[in-house]
Amino acid sequence: MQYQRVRKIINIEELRKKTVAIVGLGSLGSFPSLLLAKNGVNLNLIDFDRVSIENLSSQIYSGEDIGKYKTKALAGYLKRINREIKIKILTEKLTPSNLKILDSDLIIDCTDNLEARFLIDSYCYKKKMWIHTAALRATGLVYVVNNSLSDLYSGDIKLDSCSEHGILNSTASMVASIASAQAIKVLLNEDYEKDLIRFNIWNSTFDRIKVKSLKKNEVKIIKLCRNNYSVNLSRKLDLDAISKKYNPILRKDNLIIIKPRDNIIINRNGYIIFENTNEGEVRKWLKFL
Amino acid sequence: MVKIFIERQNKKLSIKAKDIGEIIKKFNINREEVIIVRNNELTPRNEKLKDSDEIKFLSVISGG
Repeated sequence: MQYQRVRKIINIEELRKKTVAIVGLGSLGSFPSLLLAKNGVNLNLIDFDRVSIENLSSQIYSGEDIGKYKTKALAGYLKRINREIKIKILTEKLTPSNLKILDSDLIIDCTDNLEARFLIDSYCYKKKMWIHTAALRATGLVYVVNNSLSDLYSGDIKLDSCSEHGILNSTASMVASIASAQAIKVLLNEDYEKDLIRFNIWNSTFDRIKVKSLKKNEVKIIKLCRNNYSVNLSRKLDLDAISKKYNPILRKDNLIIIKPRDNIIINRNGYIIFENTNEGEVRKWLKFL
Repeated sequence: MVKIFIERQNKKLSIKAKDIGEIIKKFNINREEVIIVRNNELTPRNEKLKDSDEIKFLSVISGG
């Protein structure tokens, strides 16, 4: 009876077998968690932060939650919404060494920084789809990443943050609605939205933007914040050969992490994240890979 | 003439321009802050333009 109305539209039985990892439980992450929980989707909730008073206007939390970890506060709320679903709490910051916490049927990126987003990208590249979301003030963005996040950007990226420029809760909830609908489509193997969706809730504008993937062997280097670089070589790499030479600190099916000084995360399909370096060093490394 | 929209400056107008780089220079657009959309498709930043192209310079957003 609980799902009677939604069952007329989607395959709830199939959906209830699925688990979604929500990375970041702030303005963007709290609302899709609610929508997916109501549809019976199991959730892995990932965030290291605690609820603070300035979160209350744009996030799902209440005054009673102040000081609690967002994972615990949200899990408690969602359990009251739907007792049937399984919720796993992961009160951790996503780093190269704990990427396994992303294991799930689908990842929704609700983070507020490019480092985490490109880590998710390096983990998922050519292996599984994921959903990228972002918002600022009245503008929101949702993109089902079938190839790579690097398709969206070129060169250096300069970013503004919500803590600096604010966010409307209507922006966050609109992002959540679009992202949740797309998540359900991906989980049920239905035809999802291939274009990047970008809207401004204040001006009532809505764009669907086509995204081109890199050609084979095309190289794209993107400078992220804090001297991190994302590199897409658009060609396969021999992880066994690289492992023999550089002795990885972590190995997981499609990627390895080596640490000559700072972390270098290498995806088998030619997608690399360099931490704390400069472009000269990156280009030097690319000659060896 | 090409139609342009620069979100950060809230400018919407029609101008003559031979390529995207010319618009970036003319309107002092910071490349690091925008994604460029040509006729509803994300584009590399220095493409030559055709008459009646629509170019949007949309702010990169990354908050959450």
